[in-house]
Order: sequence, then C-alpha cells, then structure tokens
Amino acid sequence: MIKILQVNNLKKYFSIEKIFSEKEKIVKAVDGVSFSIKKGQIAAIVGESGSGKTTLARCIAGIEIPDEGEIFFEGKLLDFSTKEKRRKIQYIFQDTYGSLNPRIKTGDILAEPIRYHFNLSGEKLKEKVKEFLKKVGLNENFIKNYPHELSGGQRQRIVIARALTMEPKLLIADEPVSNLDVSVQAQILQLFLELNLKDKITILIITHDLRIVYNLADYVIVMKDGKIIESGKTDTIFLNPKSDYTKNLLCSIPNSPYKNQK
Amino acid sequence: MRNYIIKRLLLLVPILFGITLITFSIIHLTPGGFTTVNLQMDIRTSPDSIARLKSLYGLDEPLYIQYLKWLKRFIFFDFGNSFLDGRPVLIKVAERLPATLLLNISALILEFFIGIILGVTSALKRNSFYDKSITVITFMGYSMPSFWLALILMFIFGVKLNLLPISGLKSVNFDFLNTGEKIIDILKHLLLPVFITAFGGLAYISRYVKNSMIETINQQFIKASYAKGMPENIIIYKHALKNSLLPVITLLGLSLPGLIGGSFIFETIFAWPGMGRLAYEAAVNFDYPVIMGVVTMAAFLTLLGNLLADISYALIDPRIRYK
Repeated sequence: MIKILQVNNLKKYFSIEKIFSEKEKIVKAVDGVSFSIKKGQIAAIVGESGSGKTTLARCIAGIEIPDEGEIFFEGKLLDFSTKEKRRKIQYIFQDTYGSLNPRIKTGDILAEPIRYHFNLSGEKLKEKVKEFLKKVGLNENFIKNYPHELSGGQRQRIVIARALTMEPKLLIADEPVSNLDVSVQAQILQLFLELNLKDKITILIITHDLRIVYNLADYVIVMKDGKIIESGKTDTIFLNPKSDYTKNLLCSIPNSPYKNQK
Repeated sequence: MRNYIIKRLLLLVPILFGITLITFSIIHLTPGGFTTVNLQMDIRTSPDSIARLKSLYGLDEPLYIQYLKWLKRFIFFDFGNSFLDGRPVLIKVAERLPATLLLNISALILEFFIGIILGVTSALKRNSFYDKSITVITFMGYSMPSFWLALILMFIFGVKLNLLPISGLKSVNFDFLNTGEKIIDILKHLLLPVFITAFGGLAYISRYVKNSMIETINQQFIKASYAKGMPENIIIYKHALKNSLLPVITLLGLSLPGLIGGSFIFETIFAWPGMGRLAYEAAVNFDYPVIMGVVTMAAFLTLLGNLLADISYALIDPRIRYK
C-alpha cells in the first residue's frame, strides 16, 4: 500500500515564560518523531496526557507549525497554500462544543465549507448538506438547530459531518469519543469504521483509550514525552509489547488480561 | 421572550416609583430651598411675603402631600412648570434636548465605529507596535480632562488657525444661510465637541472589543475555521466579530442614558445649549420641578437601556433565553 503520510524527525517546542523569572522553561511537546501511515489505514496515536499526541496531530493538520522536521502528504511536502490542498486533511477537535460557532445554525455550519470549497449554492447546497447529515446518521431537521441544542453525540456527528463536507483524504480525530457515553461511543466508532471502509478515508485517531485502539485501529503509535516509544500493527503491539511503557498502558485497561502477566 | 419583556416593563413601574421618591426626598432635604435663594438673603423681605410665596408654589404643604401631588401629575406625563420662569418643564427639556442629542449621538456613533475597528485590529496584531500605540493614544484620551483638551483645541483650531468656530451650535449669521451652508455650519460647530467626547470614550470600547476579540479568536471554533481552510476575513468578521460583540451591546445599553444627560462643564465651555446646563441651573436655583423632570427622564432611559441591552443579548446569542 502507498504511504499517505510520512513524518520525518518532527519537533515542536513550546516555551513557557514565567512572569517573575528570567528563565524560560522549554516543553518538548514533540521531540523528533518519525512514522508513516498507509493509505486506507486507521491509525491510532496513544499515550498519556501530556505525551504530545495532540500537538503532533495539530502539526499534521497545519494548526501548529512544527519547529523542525518534514511532513510528506501523498508523496509531496505538506503545504496548505491552496484551498484544494487545505481541505484534504481535516481535523476533528476534542472539544466539539467549543469547535462549533455558538451563533450559527447546524445547517450553516455544514454549508459554509461546501460553499467555499465547491462553489455550490441554493438548492444544490441544501441537498448536499442533507446528504452529509444523513451520512453521519442525523435527521435532516437538525439544520435548524444551534449547537447548544444538540446532545454530545449529535454534536460529535455534526463535527464529523463538517469535516466530511470537505471530502478529506486524511481525517484526524482528537479523542473523538472521550466525552461521550459508552453506547454513543460505539456508534461514533462504527461511523469512523464505515467512513474508512466505504469512503476510503484514512483516519488517524488520537486517544488514550486502548480499547478503542484495539477495536478500530490497524496501526498503533505509542508516544511518551514527545517521543515514539514503539509503533507497529495493532495485533503485534497488543500481543507482544516491547517497552515497559506500553505494557503499563495495556495494564491500565479495566479488566485487562495483561495484569496477570505482570 | 414576549412574557419576559412584559414582565420587565411592569418591573419598571415600582423601580421608577422608588427613584422618584428618593430623588424627591433628597432635593427637599437639602439645606436651603427655592425661597431661600431668591428672597431670604434680602433683609427687606418680610416673613409674611416668604410664606405667601411658599403657599403660591405649594411648598408650605407637608412633604408627602407635595410628593403625591407631583406623582399625580406625573402619571399624566405632566412634570409641572419651572419655578424660575413658569414655563412647562417638558417644553424646557424639549428646547434643550436636540442640541444634546445631536452632540451625544454623533459622538456615540463615531466612538463605537472607531472603537470597534481599533479593538479588532489591535486584537489581531496583539503586542505589536501598532497595538501599543493604540493603547497609549486611547488612554491619553481617557485620562485627559475633556475641558482642558477642549480649551487647547479651541485655542489651536479656533484662535490660532481660525478654522473652526469655538463655541455654540450655530453661527451668528445662521438664519441668512441657505440649507447647504446651514448643514456645513452645524457640522463645523459639531466637529470639536464630537471629537473630544468620542476621544474620551475610545479607550473603553476599544479595550472591551479587543479583550473580547482575543478571547474569541482563541476559541476552538476559530481554530476549526482555519483548519477548514476558510479565508481569514470570513473567519475574523463573520465568526469572531459577531461572537465578541456582546460586551459592546452592554456598553451601548449603558450609554443610552448618557445621551440625554449632557456634561455641564463641557456644555459651558462650548456654550452648548444642552441638558447639562439646564440641570445645573435647576439644581443651583432649587427649581424642583425641572430637577425632578430631568432626573426621572434620565432614570427611565437608564432602565430602558438596560432592558434593551438584555433583549439584544438574546437576539445576538441564541444560547441566551429568558423566561
């Protein structure tokens, strides 16, 4: 399979300035990370909070600018200079409520990127919006609702639909189900799986929940303190974890079978 | 929403009642009085004539009777006649109001227009040289006494350069001008007072807008808009600005009562025939009906301004719903 994304030695540091001290504290959020994702895969980045997984994902989505390193997307150096290139990588934020403009109705939230990227308007635009609502399993009446009138699961679907309107090749989802009930979690994960199978969208999921990874991902990247500890096929990592860190993560799953092995 | 508005309007009645009661008590508790100022200093006045004067104006009756009488007239929007010249309070106010409104509304529009632009642009270029210079300039306007600035500008533009008239609303030859020249004449007279009033308020608005804008552009949905690839001006002016206008609505609501209450010092310097001077003259002369009239109208507008601000919150932000 072809590599859709290749990351070489990526670095992103943040400096924290304290008000009353001259010293600058540097946080190495992403510290020399290299990996690649194949086209059509569902990949997962796992790690504890603060391990740099969100920063890494944001660098790929172009929301943060990396300090060092290269990102190749579809064989070319990543750039977002045209709107055509921009729309191919879409990012789903962890905080769905915060990532929706509270003053705009759902229908307009979905219509805006379609209008801008595909120059549709009028009836065609409306049809397209309804089509995407259907795709994420929402009734078309939802176009009249404001974000605050929706439930967590519905908001998550809207955010996914918004990302899909741009017909991305790579979809990055930051903790897509961490704020949801378990039953809703399963539905959303099912939706990701469908998108991957039917629409052939490559998906990169960032999560700390290894159960999701096990059920969904083909490929796992384990991160700690901005570095990749190990990476490989899901089965390989789960059956034969090499590093202690990964073993610890696996043990932290409730009712984990790994606990006995330790 | 409709029930909420009706409820709020009904609530205005007791609040307004309370305000008039307190104002009435305070001005009558103040040492001295209408008759003192006019007559008691003069040793030739007999106690008899003072008593006659008091009964003429109804000041000899107990305070609560006087208040009830005032209230009875007020219900029919009759504020009584001025003690000084015997003309109805409403007419006196109506004479002075246009000048004050003209000045304050022009200043308010200018202030908000420039303030919002400055706020937005300095939020986008935070901590830049531009941002810092805007902060310095607007705070200069805020902290400089307006009467001092008025005098300096009058000296420069009126006396030295002889470009602008230094005072009043109209030129002496106003009645002999044609319509176009009349408008230009009034605009010329407005320029300095409007500029000085607006300059003083810029810091307020631009600060509010800037902070609110910074808060908004750091929110996730703005980052999400960038990730969608939307062009910057759509993100800033459609998504961010609309969301950061809430504090501006509050400010707008709060400045509504200020529209009719002119500043006394300012109006005196510019010889502006406005409300500020009317209120001052009334207060100095214990002209009770005029004081009561001006205060009640200002109080009503303040309450109305707050109500309008609350209603427009709900119009602007769909998350806010009143019950």
